[in-house]
Amino acid sequence: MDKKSNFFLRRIHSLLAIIPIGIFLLFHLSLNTTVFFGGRETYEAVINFMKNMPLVLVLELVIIFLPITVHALYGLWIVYVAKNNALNYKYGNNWAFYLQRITALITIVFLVFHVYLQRFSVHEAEAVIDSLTSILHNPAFFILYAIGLLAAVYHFANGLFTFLITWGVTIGDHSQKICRYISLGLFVVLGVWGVGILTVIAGF
Amino acid sequence: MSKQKIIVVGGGLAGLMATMRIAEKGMSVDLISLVPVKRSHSVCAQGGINAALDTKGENDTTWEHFDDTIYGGDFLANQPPVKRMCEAAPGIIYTMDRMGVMFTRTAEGLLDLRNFGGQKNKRTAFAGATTGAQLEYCCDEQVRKHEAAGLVTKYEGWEFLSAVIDGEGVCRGCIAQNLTTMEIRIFKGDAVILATGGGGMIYAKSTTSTICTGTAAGSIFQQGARLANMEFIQIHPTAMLGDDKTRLMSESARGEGGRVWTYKDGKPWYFLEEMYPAYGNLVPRDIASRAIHKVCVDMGLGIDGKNQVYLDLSHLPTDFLNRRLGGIMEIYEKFHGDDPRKVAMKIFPGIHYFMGGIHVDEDHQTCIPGLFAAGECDYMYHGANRLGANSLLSALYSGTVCGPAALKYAKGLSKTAEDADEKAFTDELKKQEAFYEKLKKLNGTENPYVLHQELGEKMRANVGIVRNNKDLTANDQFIREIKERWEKINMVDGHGFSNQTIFFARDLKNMIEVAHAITVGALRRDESRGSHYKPDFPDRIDEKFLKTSKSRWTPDGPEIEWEEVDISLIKPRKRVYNVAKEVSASGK
Amino acid sequence: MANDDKFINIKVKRQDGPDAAPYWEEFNVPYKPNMNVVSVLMEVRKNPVNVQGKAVNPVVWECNCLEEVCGACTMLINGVPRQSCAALIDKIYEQTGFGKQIVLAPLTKFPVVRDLTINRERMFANLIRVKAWVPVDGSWAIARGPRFADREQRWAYIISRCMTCGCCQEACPNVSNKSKFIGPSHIAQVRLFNTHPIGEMHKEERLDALMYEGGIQECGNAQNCRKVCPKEIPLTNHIAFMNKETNKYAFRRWRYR
Repeated sequence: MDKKSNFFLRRIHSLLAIIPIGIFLLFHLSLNTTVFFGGRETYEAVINFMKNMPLVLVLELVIIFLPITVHALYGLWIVYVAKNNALNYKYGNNWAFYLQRITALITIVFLVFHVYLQRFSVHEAEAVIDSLTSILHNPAFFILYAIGLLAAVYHFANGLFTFLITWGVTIGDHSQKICRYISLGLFVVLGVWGVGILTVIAGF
Repeated sequence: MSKQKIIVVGGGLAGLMATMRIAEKGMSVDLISLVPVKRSHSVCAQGGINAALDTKGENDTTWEHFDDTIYGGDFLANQPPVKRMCEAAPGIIYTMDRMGVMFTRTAEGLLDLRNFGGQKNKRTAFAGATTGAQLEYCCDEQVRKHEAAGLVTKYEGWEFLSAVIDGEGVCRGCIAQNLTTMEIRIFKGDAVILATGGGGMIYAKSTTSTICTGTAAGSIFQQGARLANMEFIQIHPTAMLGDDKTRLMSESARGEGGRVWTYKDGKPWYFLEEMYPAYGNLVPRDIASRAIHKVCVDMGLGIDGKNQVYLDLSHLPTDFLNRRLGGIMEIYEKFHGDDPRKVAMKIFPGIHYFMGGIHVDEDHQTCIPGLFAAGECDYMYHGANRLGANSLLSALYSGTVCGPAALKYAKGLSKTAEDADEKAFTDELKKQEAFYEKLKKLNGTENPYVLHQELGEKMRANVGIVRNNKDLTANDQFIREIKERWEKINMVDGHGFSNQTIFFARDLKNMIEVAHAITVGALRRDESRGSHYKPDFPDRIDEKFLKTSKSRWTPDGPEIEWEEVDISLIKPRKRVYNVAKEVSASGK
Repeated sequence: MANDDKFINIKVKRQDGPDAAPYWEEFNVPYKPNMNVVSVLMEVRKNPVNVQGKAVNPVVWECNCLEEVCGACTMLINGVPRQSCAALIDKIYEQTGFGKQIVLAPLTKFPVVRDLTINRERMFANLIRVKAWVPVDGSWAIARGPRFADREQRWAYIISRCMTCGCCQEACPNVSNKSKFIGPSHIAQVRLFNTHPIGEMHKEERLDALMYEGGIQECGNAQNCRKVCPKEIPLTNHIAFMNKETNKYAFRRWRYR
C-alpha cells in the first residue's frame, strides 16, 4: 500500500461526508418537511414517488449506502485512534471534537435501526409511516429516535466546520470563529427541524 | 588510514557551527551534548549579533567594530583574531539569513539593525528579543540535515568526562557518560572540540542555564590544559533577581531606548545618562553594572531600599516593544508579574558571561594537541569585557575557525585515533569508572546541592563586581576548604539509573577547580581593567598587567603565568565613556 | 513576611525507570514568595525527605534555561502541560487557593525515563522526516540573503520560536500510542520552511512528508494545541493553511502525473 494512502483515505472520508452524505441528509430532511404541509397523504405520495424513481436501487447504493459505509468504517478507525481528553482540556473545540466522535457512534447505531426499520422491514408507504408512528408514540422510543437524529445532525453541522478547515477554506481565527457560529446555528436549526418532523409524524 | 572522525562536545552555537563546517567537508562528526542540542544555552541569548553591515547610513566599518571590541575589552584581547572576527561578521550574518533565521526586517525586507552598548553605530542584527534561540535553531536544523545524511551522529544526553591523552601527549578522543543509562564509554576521535560554554553555575545564581557548569573546562584544566583570563566575569547590568536564577533582561532594552533610573531626592535620577553623557544608557556592561552597584550599595539609593533600580521602557509604544523586544517583555511579565510595557522593570546586575576560558592558539587548539575549544569556553575575543551582541558572533565565528582547523589537524595526522595505543583509552576509561564508583559510594554529611549554593554565595560576595584582596584571599581559603568538604558529600540518590546527583557531584568538583582559578586570577591581578575592578587599584596598569593570565592546575591550587597580549594593530589608550570615543586611526 | 510555618505541598508521580511501576510521593517545602515549580524541586533535592519523614531519592526532572526558552522542564502541572520554570507557585495558588496541593506528573505521550523526565527523541526524529531546514549549499558566506517581507517575517518569526517542548503533542487527542501523528508543531514548522524564500524552493519535499502515515491528515481539529502552546503559536491556523497546501499539491501532482 502506498504510504500516502492514509492521507487520501482521510481526505475521501472528509469529502464523502459532505458530498454526497451531507447533501443527502439535507435532501432527506427537506422531503420529510412535507409532513408539515400536506399531512399524511402527501407524505405517502412523496414516499411512493421516491420508491418509484428510476434506478432507485442504484441511486441508493451509490449515493447513500456505499458513501455512508466507507465514511463509517474509516470513521470507526479514527474514533479508535483518538485519545480523548475533553475532561482535562475543557476547551469548546475539544468538546466539539469529543462530541463528534460520540455522535459518530450514536449515528451509526441509529442508522442501522433506522434503515432496518424503515427501509427493509416494511415496503409500502403506508406501512412505513405506520411503523414509524407506532415507534414514535412510545415516549421512550421517541426520545431515542430524537437522540439519534440530533446526533446525526450534530455530526453533520460540526463536521462542516472541520471540513472547511480540512480543505483549507477557513484558515484564520476570524473565519474559523464565524464558521463555528454558523455550524452551531445549523445544528440548532436542523435539530429543531428534525425533531419537529418527528413530532408531526408521531401525531399521525 | 582508517576512517577518521572528529568529536564535538557541546551543541550550542559554536559546537554546531564547527560540526557543520566539518560535515560539509565530508568528515564524520560525533556530537556529544548534555541536552538535546536544541535546548543548549545559546537559546538564552536575546538582544542580537553584531556585524558592521552598514545599512543605516552611518558609514560603519568592520574596523570600527574591531576598535569598539578591543576598546570595550580594555585592550586585553589579542588583536588579530578579533579583527578577523569583525571582518567575517557580515558574511556570517548573511549566511545565517540564507539558512533561514527569522531576523527582524526593515520595510524593504532587509535585515534591521539596532543600537547596543559600547558602540555608537547601529550594528546589531536581531530576531525580536530571541536572537540566540533563532540562531541556535537554525544551526540545529542545518546539523540535522547532516545527521539525516549520516555524517553527524548525535549523542544527546551524554556528559563529557575527560579527554583521552596518549603517551605522546596527544588527545585521541574522550570519555563520556550517558545521563540515563549511566554507561561510561570511550569516544575515539582524531580531534576533540570542546564547545561547552561558560561556567555561570559556579556563581549558583546567574543568567546562565543549569548546564553551564564549566565542568568540561574544569576537567581538562586538571588534565593539563590552561585556563586564561578567568578573573574576567561579565556581570550583566540588567537582570531580574529570582529565587532560582537571575533572568537576563537584554541590553537591547536599552538599545531600543530603555532608560535606567532610580529616585534621588524624590525625583527620578537617570544616573547613567548623567555620569556618561556620551553613551548614556548604552555604556558597556562593566561600566553600567558598577554604576548600578555604586548607586544601590554605596549610595543606598536602590528602589524600596533594596538592591534594584528601574529599567524603564514604559515610554515606548506597546506595538514597537512587542515587535522588537517581545521575548523579554514576556519573560518579565511571566516571571515578575508586572507588565513592562506599562511600568518600569526592577533590575540589578547579575553574573552573565565568562570572558576568560580555555587557553587556545589562533586555531583554537589548546596546549594539548588534538584538543580544541570554541565558543564561550575559550578566552579569545573579548578581552577584559565583552560588548553586548558580540557573544553570538564569537560563538559562531569561533566555530567557523575551529571546525576547519580541527579538520586540517586531523587530516595531517600520521596516526589516527583508531590506530592509537589502545591502552590510553582503557586507562582513562578505568580512571573514570573508578571515579564513578567513588561518587556512588560518597556517604558523608554534605548535600552536594547545598554545598553548591554555598560556593555560589561566596563567589558572588568575594569575586563579584567589586573585589579586594582581603576577600579574595578569604575566598581562596574557602575554596581549599570546600575541596575537602566535597569529599564528605552524601550521595543522596542511591539509584543506579538516571542519577542526576552523581553528575552534579562530579560537576561540582570541577566547578570548584574553575572557581579556584577565577579566585587566584583575580587575586593576582592588582589593577582595574574591564569587568575586573579593585578599588584599591583603581587604574589600569598596562606596564604590569596588559597580559593574559594563564592558569595552570596543580594539586595545591592554580599557578598563574603571564603572557604578552598581541597589541600589534591598535595602540592601547585610556578607556572612557563619558566622552565619545575616538576611533583608532591605525589601519584606516 | 513570616512564612516560616507555611508549606508548599507537592505530589509527584514517580517512576524509577522506564519499565518500573509509577507511584505517588508527597513533599513539603517551606513557602517563600516568588517560587516556581523548579525552585520547589530544587529545594526537595537539597533535603530529599517525603511527607512521611522518610529520606528518599531526590526527584529527577529536566530543566535548563529556567526562562521558558529551552523547553526542557515541560511536565504536567495540575494536569496541564507547561514549563515548570514558568509555573509560579503564587500564580497557581491564585487559582487554586493558597497551600493547595500541586500535582506534578511526567507528560503522558512520551516514554518516561525516570520520575518526571521523558524521552522526546521522537519529536526530533520527526523534524528530520519533515525536512525542517533550509537546504543551503553550505555555511560559507556567499552573499546577502534573500529579501523577505516584513509582514511575512512577523508571523513566520512566531513559528520559529517553537522549542519542541511537546506541550501541543501532549494536549492533542490525535497523538496517541495508536497513532503515528507527528503533531501540530511540526506542521507549523513545514509552513515556516516553505515560506522562507530558499526553503520554498524545496517545498514539495516537505509537503510530501506531511502526507505520509501520521501526517497532517491525522489532525481532527480539536484545537487544544493552540491553547497550550507556551510560545502562543497559532498552530490551528498553520494546520489549516497546510491542509490547503497539501490538498493543492496532491491534486496538482495527480493532474500532472
